[in-house]
Amino acid sequence: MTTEISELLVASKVVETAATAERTATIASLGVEPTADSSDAAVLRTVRAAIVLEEEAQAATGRARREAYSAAFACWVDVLNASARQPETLEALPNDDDYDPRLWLALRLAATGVASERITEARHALTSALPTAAELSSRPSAGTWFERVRHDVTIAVALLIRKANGWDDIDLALAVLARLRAEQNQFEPAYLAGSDDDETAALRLISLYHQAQLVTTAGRYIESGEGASEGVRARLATHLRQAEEAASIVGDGELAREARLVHVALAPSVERSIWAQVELLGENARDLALSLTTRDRAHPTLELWPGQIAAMNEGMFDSNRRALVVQMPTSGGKTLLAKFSIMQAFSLNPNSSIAYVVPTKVLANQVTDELRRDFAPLHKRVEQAVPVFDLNPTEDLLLRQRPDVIVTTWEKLDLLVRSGHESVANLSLLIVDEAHNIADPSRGARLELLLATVKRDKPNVRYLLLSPFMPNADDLVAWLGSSRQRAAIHVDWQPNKKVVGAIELELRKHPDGGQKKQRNVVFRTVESVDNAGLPAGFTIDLGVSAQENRAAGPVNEVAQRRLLERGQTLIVCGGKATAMTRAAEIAAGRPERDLTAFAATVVRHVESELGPGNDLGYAIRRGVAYHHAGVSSETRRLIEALMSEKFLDVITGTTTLAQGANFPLANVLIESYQMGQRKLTHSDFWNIAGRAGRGMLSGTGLVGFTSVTQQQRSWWGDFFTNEAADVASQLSEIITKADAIGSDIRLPTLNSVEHLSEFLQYLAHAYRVSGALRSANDVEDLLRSSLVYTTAERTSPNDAEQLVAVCRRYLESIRRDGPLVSLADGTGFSTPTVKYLMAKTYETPGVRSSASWDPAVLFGADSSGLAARVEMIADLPEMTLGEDKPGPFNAERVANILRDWVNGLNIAELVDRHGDKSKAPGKRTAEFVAYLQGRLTASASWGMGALEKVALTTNAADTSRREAGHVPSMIFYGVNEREAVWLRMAGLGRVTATRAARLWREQGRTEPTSFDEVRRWVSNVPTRDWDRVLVGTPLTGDDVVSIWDRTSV
Amino acid sequence: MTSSVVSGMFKVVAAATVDGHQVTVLEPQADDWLDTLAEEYRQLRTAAVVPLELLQGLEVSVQELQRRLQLRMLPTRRTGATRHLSVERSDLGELALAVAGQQFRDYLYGYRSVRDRELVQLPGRGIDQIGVRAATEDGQEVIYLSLGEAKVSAEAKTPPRVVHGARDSLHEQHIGHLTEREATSQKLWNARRQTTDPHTARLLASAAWLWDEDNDGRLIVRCTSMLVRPDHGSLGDAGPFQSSPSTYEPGEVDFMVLRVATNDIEALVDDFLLAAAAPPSSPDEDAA
Repeated sequence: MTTEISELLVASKVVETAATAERTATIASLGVEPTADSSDAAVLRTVRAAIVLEEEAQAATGRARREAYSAAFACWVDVLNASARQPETLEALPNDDDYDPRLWLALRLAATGVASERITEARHALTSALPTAAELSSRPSAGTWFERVRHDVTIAVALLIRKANGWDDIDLALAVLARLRAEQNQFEPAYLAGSDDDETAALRLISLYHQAQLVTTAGRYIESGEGASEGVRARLATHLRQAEEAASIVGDGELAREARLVHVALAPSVERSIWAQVELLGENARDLALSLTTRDRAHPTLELWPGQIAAMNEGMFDSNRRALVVQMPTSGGKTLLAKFSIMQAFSLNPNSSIAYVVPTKVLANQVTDELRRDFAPLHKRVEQAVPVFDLNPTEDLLLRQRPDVIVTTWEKLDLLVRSGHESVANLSLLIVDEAHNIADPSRGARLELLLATVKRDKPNVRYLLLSPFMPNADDLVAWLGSSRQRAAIHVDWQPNKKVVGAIELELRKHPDGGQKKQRNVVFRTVESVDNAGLPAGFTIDLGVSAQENRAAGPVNEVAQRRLLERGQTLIVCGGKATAMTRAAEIAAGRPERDLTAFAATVVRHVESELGPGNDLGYAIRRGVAYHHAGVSSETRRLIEALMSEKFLDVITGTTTLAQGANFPLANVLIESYQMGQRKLTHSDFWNIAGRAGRGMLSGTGLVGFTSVTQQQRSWWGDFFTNEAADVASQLSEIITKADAIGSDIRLPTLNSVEHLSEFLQYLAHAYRVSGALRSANDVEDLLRSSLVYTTAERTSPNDAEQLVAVCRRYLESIRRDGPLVSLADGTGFSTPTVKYLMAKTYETPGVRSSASWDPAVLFGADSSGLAARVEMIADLPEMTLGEDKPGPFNAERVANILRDWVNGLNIAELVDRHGDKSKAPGKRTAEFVAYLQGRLTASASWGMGALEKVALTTNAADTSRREAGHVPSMIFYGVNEREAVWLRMAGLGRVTATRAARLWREQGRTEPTSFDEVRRWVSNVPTRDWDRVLVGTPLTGDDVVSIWDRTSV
Repeated sequence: MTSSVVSGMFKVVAAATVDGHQVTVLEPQADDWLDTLAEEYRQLRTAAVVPLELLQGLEVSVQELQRRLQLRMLPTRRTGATRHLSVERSDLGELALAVAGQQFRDYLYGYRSVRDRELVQLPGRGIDQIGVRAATEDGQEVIYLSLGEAKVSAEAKTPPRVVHGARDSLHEQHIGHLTEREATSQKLWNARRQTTDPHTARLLASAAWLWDEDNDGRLIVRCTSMLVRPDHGSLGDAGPFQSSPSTYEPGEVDFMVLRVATNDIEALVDDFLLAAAAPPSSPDEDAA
């Protein structure tokens, strides 16, 4: 790696010494005893290297300055670690005799950490270096007045940088400084009188007082943001100059240096404070800043991270930009930038709404919670549109109240936009989180076409695309931004160190001798990755595998056991069922632990969903859990809460979890490069890797991938050698198969051309909105909104022409099918599919009767009606109902599963009744649950919703339509009453919602008029009422209250 | 640190250079050079007027501090209660060494032993003047480190015993600096610590680091000597520094003889001491 640090320091091994320190510190952070020389002489050399680098940094600017401070910081961390192992190491520090060496070191950690933008590491280091605020506040000061002031000033600086425990550190820093001011008259005279040279003593005190004033000025600004940041920075500079001058007059180099370090630590803290960053963004942004820093927050956002500031400096809030792509590493703080973008959008368009789309339900929950909490004081309503491809009548009604921010998946937003829903009528900003999913083979096309549709339908909408990994981000800006484009914003800053390596098996001599070999599991760093100073091939012994085979499970079981002492571990598995199996295997090797009150509640909640003796409850009792799309949203939230509270040590999941994990993870182990039907991509990998060592939540992240077979070694070798692929349109197959796409498109064509359905839906919607699109220019204009066409136009004019031809043929074919197009637009299906479905409904007239859609009938004992409907939708190209067992699709079985699910059977009962008996019990449950909640309920509810719309187009009375309209949601949520659907939408668990529905009716309540009404009602249900209706379930009223408190905002 | 009054104070009247080792004979340029040097001395040894602006902007009570600093509104000696300077005989040589180092070699001095005598507690015998300078040679960054020692001698013998022969001769001192590497290292790091000017501190830190390391020619150590001599001073006064400079390797010899136009060097030193120790004039008197 090239460096900007002076060539002299490189040649003289200062930089090398710092690199060794970095390496040693990284090794220590991995929980491995460093082998580097830790003699007094070696430590002294590290100290001196740090001193040289600090001096160098002060004279440098830009990157050279940052690198020199970073190298110095690495040295100080290494010294700190050495002192933790051997306290006498502190004697090597060249501090003045009357200056506590720990504080001398803390000041340097703070200054170099901040100046090198390694702010999270600096906070970690200061946490190790100093006691908690509570302990510090009770520690009496001793020594002379000069020593006392010096001591407290350093403490205050360290606390203002550390910012631990909410506001504790900030409050204590300011209290310490206030105490100094109060004590001055008591102690200063004696100090001056006792000095041999009172003038020198006075000047040294003056120098220190200016340091104290500098810290006070910075601390007050960080606390309240009072005054203009520029004025504050000027005052800091003045106090620095005065402190330096006073120290210089008496020739006290150390004191002058201390003043400079204090300034180096605090000037950036003022500049990065949230107040300084929002002062030019208007009142809305300032209000948001106030909301983000309220006293009740465990983690107030007092300052922005360097990466966030870099993004802002690159024009993040340039209102003239129509499309903005922000590429920033996972955990770099993209969401906060999105929040400020939202407030900016409200400033520009006060009555508009904003859509925030995410790829998964987990993320939708997280983002909704976070935005709702942050925007509530600003009176902005944030709602989640249920992430299912259907809009039930109640949700339709509630969303018509036009929340200020809608959070949902892109599929659901697509539905809302295409159906012309009021909630998105006045959209001003569309935020796409994890936007690299445009390249996702299964779902990317829908996202691309959503953006294309919005671009056409709503030309005033601005776009904010967030992604950790988007090599061709500029292409996307060009596509969406039209003429108002600027380059994408690319930020590399990461909050934590990361170490990436392979988990391998090594055959070694058995310690008992003989021929038998021992199978050692090792972690080995790879090339092509910046491993925080570690060279490729650095190895950590993780333990010995007792298994003879090379299966990933036992290898990772050994690995997670060894890594436990580093912190919590996520194991990313190739599929949902594997994740469940792996959790069970790991739990089996662990003792049962005492449950906290909340953990006990979670276990009972899990039992209510999965039945007694379930594997998840068993695992939780042993500090393990699984988490994937097949687990209910409520349970996933509770598992996340248990992770945040560090009750769980290990969590297993899929890439779905990896996209949204928002809890502390020290280690991430990737079991397989095969993720379901596809291979891991670079964006998958780095997104997963980004979860290790999240921000303030943990230190160095360890990312290991299983590489024990030749095939795995070869795949991973290629993976790290190859360049990441560009984010490309997933619609390209339409071009390559254009000749096969005639004017009369039938289901077989839809089946054979990937994403043709989504493309036709886009065209049909454009046709419906714009009317006839016959001319070549019309068609080109239409296509130009899509990424596939703009790419083709640039790279292959012939391809572009092919696409135009397909498009014109199709548009011509639907010219006389206006009603069909309108109908299709609200279903998520293409016109050929809807046409097919209509024909089917005529073949089965019963389906067209609204009475047959009555939930009591549909989900009654006779499931033939339901089976008929399942049969009809199962063949649709857009559907993937599948099954959890081999053999031909069995509509009757699927219908019975859905019926029993809707009627409230728990998972154990469902597995008992419908599970594949040919499988072992554990696998049977895992695969059934993964199928039911990971695929079937979402797909079936979508298909059933579309079928209901097609079947009841004309002949259903409004009231029965309203009842029937809830059928898809009942399937999605697993309840059989409308009231329960509403309560599920508000966030109650399946069992609780069913019981709460009874209470709702008892109180004579009817359809709610707002989401808030439902949430308020749930919040106000007395515990005794919960107890009454929950009889017969594992849950208590206290459980429901506890769960609700943690999962609702 | 360089004062304008010293620029051009000395002129080179004789020089010998062998393999990078230098011996130079200097003479004062002007007749009033001693007064100028004494004034420089007074400036170094007298604390600057403390601007009362230093007390502004503080939220603590400053009356007591202000009262104590009122004394500093007139120049006073740096420490102690007496109002005249305690001048030492060796100061003349040290001062001449620093002035010549700045004038001819562009050295920067982090702290000056003459000025900071009372402030700096160094273990063992110090080094009279430690100077540093950054340079680029053959396309590479290097640092010149001047380990400076000064003597005054009226001895008739050439070279005088203070150069070679006495227990505390320049020869012994320089050999000591070069051979007692750890002690010299400590002195260099301490010099850096005491230095308030960031640029000089940076060069001193680099020099100290390079001193400790196998520096591959990046640190050019100069064994700098200043010998104040009466009018018979000559190149020959450098003694072994001229005749066998390789003795001081890896240091380079930079030996300066300051030849003054008097036979009575003791009287010259006394004149310097008197001039330097005179009570300072107040700003008002200067204006008048």
